[in-house]
Amino acid sequence: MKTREGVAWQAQVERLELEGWEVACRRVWLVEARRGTHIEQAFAPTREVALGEVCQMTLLDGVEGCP
Amino acid sequence: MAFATATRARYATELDGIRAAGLFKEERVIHAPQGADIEVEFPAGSPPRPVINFCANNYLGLSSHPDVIAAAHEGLDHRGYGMSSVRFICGTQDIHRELERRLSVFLGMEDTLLFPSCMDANAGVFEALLNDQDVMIADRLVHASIVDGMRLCRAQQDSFKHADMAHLEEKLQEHADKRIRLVVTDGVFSMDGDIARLDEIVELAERYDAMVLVDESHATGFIGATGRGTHEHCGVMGRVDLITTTLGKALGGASGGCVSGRRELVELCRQRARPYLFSNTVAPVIVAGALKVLELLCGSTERRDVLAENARAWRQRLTEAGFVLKAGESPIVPVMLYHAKLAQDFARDLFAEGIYVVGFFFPVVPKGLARIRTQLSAAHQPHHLDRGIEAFVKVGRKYDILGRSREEIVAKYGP
Repeated sequence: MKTREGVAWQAQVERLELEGWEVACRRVWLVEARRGTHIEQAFAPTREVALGEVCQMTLLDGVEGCP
Repeated sequence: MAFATATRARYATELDGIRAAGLFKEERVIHAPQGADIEVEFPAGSPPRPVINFCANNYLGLSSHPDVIAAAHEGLDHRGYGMSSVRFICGTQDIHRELERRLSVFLGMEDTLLFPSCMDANAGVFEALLNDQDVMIADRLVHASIVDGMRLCRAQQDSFKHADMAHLEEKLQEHADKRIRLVVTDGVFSMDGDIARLDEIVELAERYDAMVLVDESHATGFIGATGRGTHEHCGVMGRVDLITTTLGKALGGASGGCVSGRRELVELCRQRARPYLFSNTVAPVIVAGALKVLELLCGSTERRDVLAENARAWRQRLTEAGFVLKAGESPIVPVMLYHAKLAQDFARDLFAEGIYVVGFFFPVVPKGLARIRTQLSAAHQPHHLDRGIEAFVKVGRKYDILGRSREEIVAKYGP
């Protein structure tokens, strides 16, 4: 991709590859759940998987717990 | 940018919001060594007043034990105050290695690694051992530090309903394709005081080729016939892969924690766990005190036995008085009040009666399950329990909750 934006991200990819990273860019679903100042986020190839991960995190963090 | 007026105002507003929600945490200053009888300044600025402490994690009454204090003094004299280094540069003394060895023997595990706290142990252990091909399956009531540790790890997070073995089995089946399955639980749950069904968890883990990690912070030193912990209580010593636990509760109550477990797992934590790698470890003075604590515990189960009897008697007497308790057999005895304001008012009135307890309500516990968490200690003597029961009954009568069911309390005070 040789668009103006594409050149910028391609340069970043090239820099990472020079440092030994193998870089893959793909589109994903980002699911975000907010309650007050609390945010849970997950991203995954499908909306269902991302939503499922957010659900798990809200379950794990439903209460603050006792010290 | 300096701390601009607008920035200060933003933070002040946030603090006001916490106060308005009734969630502002105020420290109560103790003017005495930790123990059953302490002097507390509350509200701030008022003269300290004597109260009986029913909210410390001082389960074995060792926080101010004269032998532990003497050993700590000796440690200070012989090994100094601080290490000024992380462990792997020049921050490891002979007594650190000795404490790790002695903890391994006490817990019945292959190896142990000290951390500055159990919070740090839980923050480091998952990331050190798991990657994105793995899954962590945690009981939904695990301690906040485990939740934080899991968040720092790239492995998939999943959970099972509290103490629900059928649900855990479903989850283990669902994750059969993962490289490593790690089942995570507390040994004794800090909010409810119930003990994990570790024998059943271990059996399921063995059937589905999973590892088991138990946070034993509210168990080490007093759960099980010789105080080794939940794995001893449930008859599965040698079958648990990882234990995290603390020196900050029953084992003298100062600070420090550890990961104890299979040799390779502990060694990998020594190589990779970031709170171990990038922070000083436990100070020599605390190591010396903890070594004495272990010596005391290996020499006698007397303190563990007194604690068990205190917890049994306390539960029985509160039940007979008409309070609703969370069922269990640990020294964490939650008195259920359900309503947040009732829990706060009840704790305030008990303090006026010379009994120091704390009310817990959402978001510390689920909505509609507010409570007062009482914690027993081997330092409690019969007169402490007598006075505690007397005060609970007096305040219980005031609020007319004695002999009332959950439904009746909720009907009277609201959900």
